Amino acid sequence: MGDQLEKFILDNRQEFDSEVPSEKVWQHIQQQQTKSDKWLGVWKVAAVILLISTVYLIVDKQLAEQKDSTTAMESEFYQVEQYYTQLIAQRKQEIATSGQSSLSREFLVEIERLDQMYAQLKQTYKSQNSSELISDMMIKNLQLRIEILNKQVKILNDLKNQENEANKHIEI
Amino acid sequence: MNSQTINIHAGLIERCRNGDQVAQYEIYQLYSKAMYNTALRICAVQEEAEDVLQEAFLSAFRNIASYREDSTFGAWLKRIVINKAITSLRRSEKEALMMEEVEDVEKYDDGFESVSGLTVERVKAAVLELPKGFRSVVSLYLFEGYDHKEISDILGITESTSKSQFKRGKDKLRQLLEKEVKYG
Repeated sequence: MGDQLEKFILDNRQEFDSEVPSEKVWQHIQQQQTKSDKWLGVWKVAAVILLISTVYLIVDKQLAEQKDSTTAMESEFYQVEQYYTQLIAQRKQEIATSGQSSLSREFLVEIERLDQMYAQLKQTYKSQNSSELISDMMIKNLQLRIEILNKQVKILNDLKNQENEANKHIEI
Repeated sequence: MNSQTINIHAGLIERCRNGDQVAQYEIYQLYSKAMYNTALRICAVQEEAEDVLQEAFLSAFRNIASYREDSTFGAWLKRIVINKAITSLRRSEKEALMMEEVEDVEKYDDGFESVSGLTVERVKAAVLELPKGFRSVVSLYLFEGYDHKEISDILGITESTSKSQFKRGKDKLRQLLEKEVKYG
């Protein structure tokens, strides 16, 4: 310490900062900043566009997948429906040709009622965009009808067998 | 006292953080002159110092979020200016900062009493005449008030190199001042 030069600089420190920068410096700073602001704006817009298009593509893809799965579900359901209605028609035919018309009629009335219920369900199913709940109910309806018809066919067959037995008895 | 000086422009700085251009201009008005002189003492060339000033303020405004109020804003800003100035100095010439030769150091090791008629203008001119390696160490120590530990950090040199460069630089400065007195 005690250095003359160091002391002189310390004592006159403020006076050493006497140079003034030119006006250009601030102008350039401002220009650079608005430029970077502009680029920031451009990037923001670009980012938003990218985001929107990404969301659009994802949603679109998911909707398409959903649609695919719905149509797959529908066609599967129609296959099941076709199988059961064929089976029902076959059983009805068997009962109608069995000859026990008075007994069959009561059953066929019951089946008819279930048929109507089914027609109603099918309408609801179509108006409710293939709801899984309704299609389950429809399949249960079909299964119930098959079950009833199967029992009816069995009863008719049993009756036939009894008659045959009785006839054999008489012949003997 | 410290906490007061730190918070003198707290409101302005807060507005700068939010990108307020009026506040940025006020900060520029407050600090640009001192910062320019700091840059000029290291760069010695007006255009170079102005470029440094511009870069430093842009960088400060961009990175103002990283300013923690553990130092004054001026000290934080000055550190940016100095870093930019040193980078600019290294870029402008390929010669290494610390490689300059100097005449026998011991010859001048007898204090500064002999130099008379010191004026601000004379000292300023002599500083600008210093070889740039010396100029950076001398100006950081004598004018910006950094110690050798801090200078070694800023310049990426050892503390002892900083000390010896400073001593040599100051001797060179005295030489230049004596010459000025004799012939100027």
